[in-house]
Amino acid sequence: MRPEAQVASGGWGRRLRAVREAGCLLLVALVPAVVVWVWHPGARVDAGSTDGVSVAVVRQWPAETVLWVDARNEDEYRAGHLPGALSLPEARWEQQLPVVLEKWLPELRVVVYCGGQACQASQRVARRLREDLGAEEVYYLEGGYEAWRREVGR
Amino acid sequence: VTSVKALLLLLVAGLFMWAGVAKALDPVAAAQEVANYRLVGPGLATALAVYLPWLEIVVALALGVRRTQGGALLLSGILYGLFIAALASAWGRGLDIACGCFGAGGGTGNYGLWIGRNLLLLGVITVLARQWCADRLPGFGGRLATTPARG
Repeated sequence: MRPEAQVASGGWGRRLRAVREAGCLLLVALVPAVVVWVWHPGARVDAGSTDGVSVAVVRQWPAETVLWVDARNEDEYRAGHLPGALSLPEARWEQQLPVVLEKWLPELRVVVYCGGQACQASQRVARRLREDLGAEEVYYLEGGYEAWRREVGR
Repeated sequence: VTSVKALLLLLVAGLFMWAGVAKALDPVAAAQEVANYRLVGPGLATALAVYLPWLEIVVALALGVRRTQGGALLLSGILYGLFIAALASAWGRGLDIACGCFGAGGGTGNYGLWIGRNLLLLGVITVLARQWCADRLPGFGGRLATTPARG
């Protein structure tokens, strides 16, 4: 159909055509997505595969087997942190990662925490640590620093 | 006027392409960003993180072709509407997360800025969609109608 004829047929015809085109585009995008899904091994790793761990569980682990990492900003860290925790905010990753590497041993469990339930920095930092260290046992603390203070009281 | 419309079209297409490529290059990080919104489970977040970047790339390309502009504009509007709703929801729940708009990284919690930017782009898309309805939008292939649409 020539453009002039399409215009003359009114706006609804064009809108219906837009819906059909949108459907086609949704299907077209499915093709590369399926290819990536099948061929990219990392793509099927579930989001959130960096494990969360509760305060109660961490407290059952021997203290010497846990390396605490604080993902909050420097001011929050200075204001108070878990005993022995190393500061590793995302904004200072390059500067602080060597400090963590100095203390890290493959047999240690790394537990990353941030402010509380709403913050996501601990999950992001834990994921980056998994990638950079190649470590299996990297966890984020569910409920973060707030949960720890609430349950342990310090 | 046509060159202004072409520039706006290029802006929207460019942003979709940038967002799509950035996320398609790192689907694992993109999945984490989607999961951070806590609107869907990890499995669906992973699937969305693989599919959405390619949809954004396809929409970016389709915006430049007259034959597919209508569908691309419709999807652009729906996607931006969904992004705005997701951001507003995360803001309302007090989540301290990154936007994830252009891949992993970036600051967290700038909801006002992100929603404002997306609303602006949704406005641009609406203007372009109205122009498309009147068959006055430039693009590759076909040619512009000489008479404006009625209705």
